[in-house]
Amino acid sequence: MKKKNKEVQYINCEQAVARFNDFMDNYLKGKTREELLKHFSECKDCMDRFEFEQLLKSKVHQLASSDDDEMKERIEKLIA
Amino acid sequence: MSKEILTREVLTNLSALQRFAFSLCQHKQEAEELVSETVVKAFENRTQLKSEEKIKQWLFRILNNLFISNYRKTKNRKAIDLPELSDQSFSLFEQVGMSSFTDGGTPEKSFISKITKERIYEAINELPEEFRTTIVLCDVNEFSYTEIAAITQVSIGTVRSRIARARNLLQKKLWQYAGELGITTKEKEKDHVCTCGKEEAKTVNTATV
Repeated sequence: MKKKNKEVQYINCEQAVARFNDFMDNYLKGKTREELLKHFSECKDCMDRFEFEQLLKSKVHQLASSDDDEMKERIEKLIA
Repeated sequence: MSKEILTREVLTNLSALQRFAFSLCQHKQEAEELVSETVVKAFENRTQLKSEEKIKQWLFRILNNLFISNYRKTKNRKAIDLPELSDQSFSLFEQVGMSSFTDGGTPEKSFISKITKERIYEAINELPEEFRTTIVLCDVNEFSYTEIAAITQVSIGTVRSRIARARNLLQKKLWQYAGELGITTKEKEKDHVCTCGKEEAKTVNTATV
């Protein structure tokens, strides 16, 4: 019977970059996550690139901080 | 679902609903009408929703369905310009890193600080509909992949792939913006150089019994 291999593998930069989105969105779990973290500890370029992509994501999220009071008023009337 | 709870949730999520509506319609007035119709429909059907937990997702799903049935047909949808495989390796980080742009920090961080909210907004609105809506739901409104899949009625795999392509396309749009700021790469072409010293993936301690 084969035992499932759960050891952390070395991944190269291309494989690491392919996991960025899942990691950034909290979808990377277990072994695949450990492998990426291990790669980051050894590869500054990938760590820097990931930080850049995270910064960009937070910049996109800033779009969430605008309110339209006029629309709010309109909806309040609609549901009153 | 009580009227009071639904009213509270509608008002809490109004801005997010508007952003999503605008990302679908790309027209302010139409987006406002779509949000109003969503609210009316939600109140008409409020007894159908039993759990408070999923109100936000439910509101977004109503909005998406209304857009598909009442608005999308009137739109000249942009042809989906799927990036080619080679394009998916595009990295804004690498492009900016190869430039001589600096504003006190590294070229990459200096560039991020220069990008305005308006410019990101414009860049997102230039993306094809599928990618535009997915990135708004994920990065702006912070829905999980599972919630986005439920709202847009596609598989999680499709959501994942759309997010990857949307972010890639957004980076390309922002690189055009970099050009407008006078930021260009010093070298003609440079691929990412693997510096981790492990070009080939290899296995350690392979345990098979």
